[in-house]
Amino acid sequence: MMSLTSGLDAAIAGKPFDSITFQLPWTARAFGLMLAASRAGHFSLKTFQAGLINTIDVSESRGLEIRTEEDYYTCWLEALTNLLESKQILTGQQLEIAEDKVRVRLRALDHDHSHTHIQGFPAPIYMEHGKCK
Amino acid sequence: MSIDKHNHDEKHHHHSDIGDKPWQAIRIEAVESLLHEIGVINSSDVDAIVHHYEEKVGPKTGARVVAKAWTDPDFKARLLADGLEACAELGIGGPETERLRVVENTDTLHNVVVCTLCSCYPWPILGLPPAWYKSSAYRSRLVREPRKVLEEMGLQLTQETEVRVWDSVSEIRYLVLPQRPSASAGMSESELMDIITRDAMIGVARVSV
Repeated sequence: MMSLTSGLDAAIAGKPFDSITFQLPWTARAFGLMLAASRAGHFSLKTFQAGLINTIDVSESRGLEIRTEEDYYTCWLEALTNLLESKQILTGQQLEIAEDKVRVRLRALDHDHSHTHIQGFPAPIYMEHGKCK
Repeated sequence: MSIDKHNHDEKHHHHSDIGDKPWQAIRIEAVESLLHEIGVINSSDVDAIVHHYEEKVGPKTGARVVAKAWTDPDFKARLLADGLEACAELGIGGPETERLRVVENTDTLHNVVVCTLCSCYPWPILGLPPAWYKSSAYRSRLVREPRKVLEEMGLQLTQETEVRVWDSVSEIRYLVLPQRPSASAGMSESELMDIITRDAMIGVARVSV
């Protein structure tokens, strides 16, 4: 039997107004992106929801329980990309190229950052050695 | 070619090869840049939606509705008859909820809401659902053993209390109108808003003073 424990206890501990914001930045983008595309008329919320239900069902039938926001939005992301592909709004190849571009950009950022990063603590700007009596 | 190149079993808790950046973050950034490029969406629209749901709506919106219903019997009657229309009187609503059914808790009846298939929730009234609401455990168990699940979540119901579990779907979302605690007599609408919790409006808790 699935338990409500293992990570969910904290979520259900009496905090009346928590969980309003997104715990991970990418989940916020996934949420906003779906709504923006739906509001722009590319698909209805109902169509997206049908895909989400299917993705969650497949995931759970393979024993992958949804326990966290990450688990849930991973299904959301998969449902969204599948829908965009089925609507021929984007293709897998386009997405693969776009992902490569993101990786290149991130690696470049990482590289630049490593050159400017101060290793350890900076040295003091003034030092005076103590004198033995 | 399928968009989904990842092995499904590896999807949970899998990181990309770039620092701590999860693969989902890379993918969503790629999707967003593509959709922006081809004019399907504008990234500023995504920003606005995220900001709206992070800052503008949340359980306090629902608490306003409940506090009003507790203090205005005519509003309560309208709310129970047509949730969305009554909420609209307070300037509350949005395109993401087609129909809102408000169900009232009494001394002998307790209502609780779940979405057994995914995570349907009255976003414009309660904001985004908590993590546990979307969990497999809550979704699968509440409908089978509601009293036990509610007890695990800290709510004990007497055997005499009837329990109704409402399955939220895309067309109809539910809001529980909790019982007003007797100790709250004399409190103003804004004071009442402070004691009304998200969990009470889902039906997994009572309101207490």
